[in-house]
Amino acid sequence: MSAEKTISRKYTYHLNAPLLPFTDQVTSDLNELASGAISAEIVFNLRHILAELIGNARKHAQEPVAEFEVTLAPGYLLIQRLDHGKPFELPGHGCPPYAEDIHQQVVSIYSDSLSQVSAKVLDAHTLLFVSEDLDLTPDDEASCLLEHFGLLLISKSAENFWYKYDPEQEANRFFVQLSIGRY
Amino acid sequence: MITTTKEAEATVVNVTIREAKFDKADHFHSELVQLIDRGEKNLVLDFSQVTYMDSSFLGALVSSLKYALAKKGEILVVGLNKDIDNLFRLIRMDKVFKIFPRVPEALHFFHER
Repeated sequence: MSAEKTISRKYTYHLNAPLLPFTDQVTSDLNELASGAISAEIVFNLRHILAELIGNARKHAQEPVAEFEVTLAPGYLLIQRLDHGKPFELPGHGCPPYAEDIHQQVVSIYSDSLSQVSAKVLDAHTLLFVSEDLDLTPDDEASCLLEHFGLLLISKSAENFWYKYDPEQEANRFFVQLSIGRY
Repeated sequence: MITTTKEAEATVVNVTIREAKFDKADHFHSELVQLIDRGEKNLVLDFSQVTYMDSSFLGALVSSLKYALAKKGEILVVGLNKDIDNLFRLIRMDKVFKIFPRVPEALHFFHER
């Protein structure tokens, strides 16, 4: 399935509103835009990505709403979330602007015996999230496992997942790109 | 949120909510901790009524498993629908939890152990 042109829709989600009607609405709109050609796998990924982006906004946004824009383009789907909450704090390095000496470096955000989530610092205001599977040996104890999976889930569901801070607007923008050409 | 049935091998915990999300996660964790503290350390969690699960609820599940293991107990999972099973596999929770299709298979695991 591949869209012939680029189409976007914007949504305002009130953070106290029920989650599933919103994710159902977005996936339904998307399916309509794509003439019903969105695969079950994309719908599965999209629902979880939206839920995790909302979960993140609930934790960090300093306002009652999160703005979303969903773009269907030839070969890919792009989900953007915008809020005006606290900028993303990179462990050990603080909030943007990220120091020049860590540009192009990969910084670990969290890891356990199963997975690692890191961010590559692209510039002073941009992070690219990446995840990696680690080997769980039979001797590993579940006691060391982390209990927060939001960033991991999005980075494993998406083709690309990045964050950009807009200092002029004091806005956080999360971008999640899903390939739809391969389904 | 849960109902329980005591079997010879373990306590079967029937999760009675349809949407297992962040707003239920803490309460669910508390209920499991209470069961474990009462000595019901081997649990079979039946999710066959649950249609959706998010990562916060999964985090509560991992936290409960860690608590059970620390008390020398075990938590098995049954009745996952396709989407939730995919979620477990996506973030590799299938490496952490023993997952069975239905309750009898999980009880058999405890029986044979």
